[in-house]
Parts: sequence; C-alpha cells; structure tokens
Amino acid sequence: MSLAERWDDFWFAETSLVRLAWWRILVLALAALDLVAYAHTALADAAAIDAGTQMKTWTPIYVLEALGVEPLGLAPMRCVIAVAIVALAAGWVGWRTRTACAVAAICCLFVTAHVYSFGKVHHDKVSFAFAISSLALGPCGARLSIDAWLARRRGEGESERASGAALPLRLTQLSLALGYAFAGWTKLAVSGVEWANGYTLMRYLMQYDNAWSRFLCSHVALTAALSWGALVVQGTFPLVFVFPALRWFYLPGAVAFHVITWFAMDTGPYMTCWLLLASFLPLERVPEWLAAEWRAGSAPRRARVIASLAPAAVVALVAWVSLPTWAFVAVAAFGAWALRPLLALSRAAM
Amino acid sequence: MLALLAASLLAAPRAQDSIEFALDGERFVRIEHGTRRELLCTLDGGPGAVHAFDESPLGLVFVAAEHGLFVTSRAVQSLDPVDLWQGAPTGPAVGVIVDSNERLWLATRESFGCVELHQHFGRTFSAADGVPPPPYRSLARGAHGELVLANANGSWSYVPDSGSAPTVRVLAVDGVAVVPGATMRARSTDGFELAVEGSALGGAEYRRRDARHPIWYLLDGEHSNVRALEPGRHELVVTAWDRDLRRSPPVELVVDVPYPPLLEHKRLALVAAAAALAIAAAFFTRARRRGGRNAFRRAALSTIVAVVLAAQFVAALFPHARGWPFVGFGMYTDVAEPFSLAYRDVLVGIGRGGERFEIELWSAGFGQYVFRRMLVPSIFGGAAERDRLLDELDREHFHGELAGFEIRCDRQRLTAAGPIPVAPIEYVVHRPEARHVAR
Repeated sequence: MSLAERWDDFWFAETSLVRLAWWRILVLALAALDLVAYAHTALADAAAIDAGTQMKTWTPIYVLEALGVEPLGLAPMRCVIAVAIVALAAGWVGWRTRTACAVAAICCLFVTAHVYSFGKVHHDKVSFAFAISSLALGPCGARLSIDAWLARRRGEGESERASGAALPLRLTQLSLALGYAFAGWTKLAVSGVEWANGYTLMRYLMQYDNAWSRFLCSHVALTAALSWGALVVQGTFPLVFVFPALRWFYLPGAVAFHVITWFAMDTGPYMTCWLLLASFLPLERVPEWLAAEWRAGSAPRRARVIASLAPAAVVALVAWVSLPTWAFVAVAAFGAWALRPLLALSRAAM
Repeated sequence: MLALLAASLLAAPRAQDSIEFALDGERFVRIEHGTRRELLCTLDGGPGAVHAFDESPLGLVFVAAEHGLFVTSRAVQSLDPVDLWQGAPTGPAVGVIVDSNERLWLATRESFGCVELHQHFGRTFSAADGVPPPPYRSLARGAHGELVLANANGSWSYVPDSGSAPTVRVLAVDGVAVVPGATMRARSTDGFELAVEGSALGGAEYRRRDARHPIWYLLDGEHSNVRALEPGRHELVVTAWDRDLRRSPPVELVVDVPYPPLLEHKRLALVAAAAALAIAAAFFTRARRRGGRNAFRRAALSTIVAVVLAAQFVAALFPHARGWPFVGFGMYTDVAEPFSLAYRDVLVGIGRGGERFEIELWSAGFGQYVFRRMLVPSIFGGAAERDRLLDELDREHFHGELAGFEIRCDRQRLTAAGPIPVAPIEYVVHRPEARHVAR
C-alpha cells in the first residue's frame, strides 16, 4: 500500500455514522461543562475591563493578536457566551448540526482564548480544541439528530457508514497521541532518564500539593516508579495506532495518570483531555458490549465491565465536585432519563 | 484512594501557642508542653555547636551554629540549613540577629554582614566598612539597638541605616536612553544591556525583578547583560541596595524582547501560509489526477489535517505557550536533586476570631499559576496594596468575615524517605487593627 493510500485509509476509512453522532454528543456535552467552568472567569475579566479594575495583564495568544482582538467588555462577552449556549444546544440535538458545531467551536474556543490571554495557557484543552473544531468537518449530524429525522421524513436514503466520519475521531486521536508522546519525549530530551529519579516527581507533588501527595511521596522508590510509569505511558502512547489491542493498556493508563495528577498535583480533573480518549472506542457498540460481557456471567468478564465503567464514576465525581448540588441532580436525572431513548435510537440507527 | 482522601481531610493542625525555643548548653531545643527536645536536622551531621538564635517578627527562628545558619518555625519539626548565596557571609556562624526590616545580621567566624530574609542573598562587610579583623566570637544587640560584634580584642558597634537611603536611575537599554513610561525595545532575542547609576552606603548593588514575581536577580553592576527573558513585553522593577540591604525606591522599566526570527509573527504567518500552500498543492495535484468531486473534497480535508498536524509538530519542537492550541510540552521537565527544596505558595486567611485557614486558590479566584502574579503587589506594595487585596478577597469570597491574610511559601526538603517540611518563607502577615472588631 502506497503512502497516499495509507493516508486515505487512515483519514477516510468508512466509519460508523452512529459512532460520530455519539462523539458529537460527548464533545458538545464536554464543551458545555467547560463553558460553565470558564464563563465565570471570562465574565469576571470582562467586567473588570469595563470597571477599569483589571489587575491581570492582557497577553494575547498568537491567534487573537494576529486578528487584532482586544479584551472584551461585559456586554460582548455575554453575547459570545449566549451564542455558544444556543449553538451547543442546537448541535447537541442535531439541528443544523454542522453549522451549530462550527459556531459552538468558534465561541467556546474564543472564551478559552480570552481567559488564557489574561493568564497562563493550559494543556488540558489542546486536544479538545481540535476535537470540537473538527466536528463540522465530518457528517456529525447524520444520526441521532433532528437533521437525520428531517432527512428521513424527506425520504433521503440512509447509509450506515461514511468515509468522512472518521476524520473528527482520527484528528482527536492523533492530537492526544502527539500530546502524550511529546510530553514524554520532551522530558527525556531535556533531562534524560535522570528525570525519573523520584525526587523530580516528589518536588512537583509537593509543589502542587493535594490529598494524595504526601502518601505518594512517602518513599523515593514510589515516586521513581510513578515517574517511569508516566514516561512509559506518555512516551509510547502512539503504539496504540500500531497495535490497537493496546487500547486496553493505554486508555486506562492515561485515565489513571490524570486521576493521580488531579489528586496528587491539583491539576484539576483534566476531563477535557482524558474523556476524549473515547475517540479510540467504537462508541456505537459499547452498550451492547457491556451488556454481553455482563450477561456472560464469568467473574473476570464482569470485572472487566466494572473496570470499563470506572471512568464514568470519575465523570460523576467531577460533576459532583464542580456543580452545585441542584445542578448535579438535574444533570444526573436528565442523563438517566435521556440515556434509554438515546440507546434505543442508537440501535435503530445502526 | 477514598481512605487517603478522608485521612487528608481529617488531619487537624497542631496548636502552636505553647512552643518555645531555648539553648541548652550548645544544643538548640524546642520546648513544647514542658518537653524539651532537639529538632530533626535535615543536614547530615546536624548543626554542630549552637551559639545563638533569634526570632523574626513573622515567627521564623534563625539559629547560628558550627555548621552554618539554620532556620525553623513553630509549624515544623525540623532544623534546616539556610542556603546562603550572592554575597551573604558563610562559614561557622557565631551570632545572628533578626531585625524588623526583613533582614538578619549574621556573624560567622570569618565575616560579618546582612542577609535578606526571603531569598537569603546578602552583603558581607569588608575592612573598608570599618569592621575589625576576624575571627569573631559573637554578635549581640546593644543597649540602644546597635549591633555589637565581638572578636578576641574587644567589640565593635554598628548602627544600621545611618547613611542616606539608596537611589537608582535607569539610564539606557541597549544604548538607547530610557524615556519614563515608554516601552523600550531590546535588540536581541537573548536579552539586553541595561545601564543604571545610583548611590548607596557601602556602594550600590543593583537588582531587578519581574513586576509580578518576587525574586530579585542581581545585576552585574552599572552595565549589565539582562538574559533569560522570554520574548514579549516585560515589566521590570530595578532597585539599588546598600550594604545594610536597604533598597531604593523602585524604578519601573518596560522592555519588549523580540521573538526569534522563526517565531516572529509576520514571518511565522508567511512560513505557515507557504507550507499550507505547498501541502495543498500536493494534495490537489493528486486529486486532479484522480478526478471527481469527492477527490477534491478529500484533498481539502487532507490539507487541513496535514497543516494542523504540522503545526502541532512545530509547536512541540519549538514550544511557545502563546501559540495555543499549538503548544509544546516543556513543562515539568527540569530535574530535582536529592536534598533540594520543593516550594509551594500559600495564601492563609485570618478570620475575625483570629482563626487561620488556607484559602484554596481556585476558590479565591487565583489560578495556581497566576497566584504570585496577583499577590506580588501585596508583598512589595505596602499597606495600601494589602488593604486593597484584603478588601477584594473579603468582598468577593468571605462576605465580611476576613480580618487579614498571610502570604507565605511552604518548603519541603526532599529526601529518600520522603519530603521533610522545613520552615517556610514568610512574605506578609497583614491584619489591620480596624478589622479585629466584628461588624
């Protein structure tokens, strides 16, 4: 197979439209949660600009600088957030889906860029930026959407798979893999294996102290082992493309890495990064797989089901920590209510 | 994991009211509830014979001992060597006195001088400053607040801060005269040459810091090369220091350090555009050979993803955070050695009843990384800046219940058996009298 054919095979392989639809729902839900988290800071910054009390320095990221964007006041920032909310809602239910996803991406990324331009840039939303931006490049509204329902009413033919459906998923996968790999390789390039001497990680854990830091630092051998674990998971992550079965190692490994850094380094949940690891999963088959494994009855297979659901527990924990109780209850209730019909729709659409 | 979480949440701070320190012969002891015991010393071999100790107004206890200067506080169970540098007196310490101006006076067997309390740099007096010849035996406070340095032949008294205060003027950046309020432009991406002049008792030393960062960096005299600055706009503060570590009123300087040619914005945009065109040309040529609308659609999409991936590679190889979402991964890459220190900035709230509680940074509106940048004005800005921060914190997050705050940097010495908490760096304890009365 030539390089060009390999390229096409990677980016344009026939892929399930239902998978892409689930991906859209996940990414936009994540975008909504992220908007909730960032809107407060963005509005506070904007209000401080209006009031002339902004203490932070405006150091725009390249894109905003190139576009000549100045810090927004409260009214325009409210407009951007309002448009983002409408676009997210439209994208989520799948109405004018690709346009809605494009608008949501622009607005959400602008809010993030505005906040970053007043402070420090973070890595947790690098892959997320590519995930939400690339949704509109694929037929993300072809299933589980109002657009699909309208198309069926018009009698338009439906196919189960499409060549354009892979691109948003693949771009996110590659972005994640590059992020992890360069994080590991840069440590080795700058400091060599000495980076894993245990003291280095011990210092970071103490510097960004959180609930588990002191326990994990109880002996340098433990921090050295964790350092090697981090280097291996990060530095070799791209192998997941060569040996897809390694998803069973890298995905839990990466989630564990982020949970540990959250509770030991106070990085925050980093959910906008690790939840995107779902791009490596055949999302449309997950419910059936879970049900089949559970019904199989053997203890190891049921244990695998429970282990596979662990990230969902972490998501619930993040929601519990970050949302007010009423909002958590509302989201949980809506999720419980919407899941069954969504699964039914998903099965019907395949 | 949950057990760990619970244990960490339930851990209660220890009362520190009844803790005292004393010399027991040549041993330094901590007395808690009547029990005297020596502290764990993080230096192999311990402090050696202890000659004196003194406590700072913010509760740090400095210990002069055979193996150097050490520090402890009521909050920790350790005695840790002070890493003295940049001109501070070194060697076996025989006397220490902490005064109220964020400095300590240190006599070692061979030298006498002054040490800054937060960063531990200093000035060592020479014969030209009038100090008698070593070896020295002790350092004490005189009846009128003067310092009394003793050697075998007698004693010498010194009254600090007796001359006129230091002054500084910033003259030029890269040979171009500085215009007050204007942004100066450095010629090189590596930094710039800074010309200053000033006067200070015992000769001026010049230091600069980032306006939003507490660390003072020493300049190489009146003509120095300022290096290791990231490209972009820098707000700097320049001061002159005298031998008593009094600093002049700060002079603010704004310097724009150019980006390296590769990252210069217009050039970067041109290179990116050229690369994108080349990639597009390759894909569209192939699409033309194949023909069909779908081939051209694929070529367009392929161009987009190839450009995005190329930008990610370039960002990873030449990291600069401002390129977000194309960023590098240079964070967390430097190596810590055994016995080095871990630092952690802490903001502590003081309630109206005097109770203290750590303010979680996110809840107070400070991102972990902008913490110092937000608090530095309070560290250096005096009572007005501190009142402003207190008012803001109180209004936004504590609804009238906050009476004061403390800014400090907790430190841990890294050992094979885990980190050992050592005395923190205390920056500010601000508790205005007017706030003691409940509203």
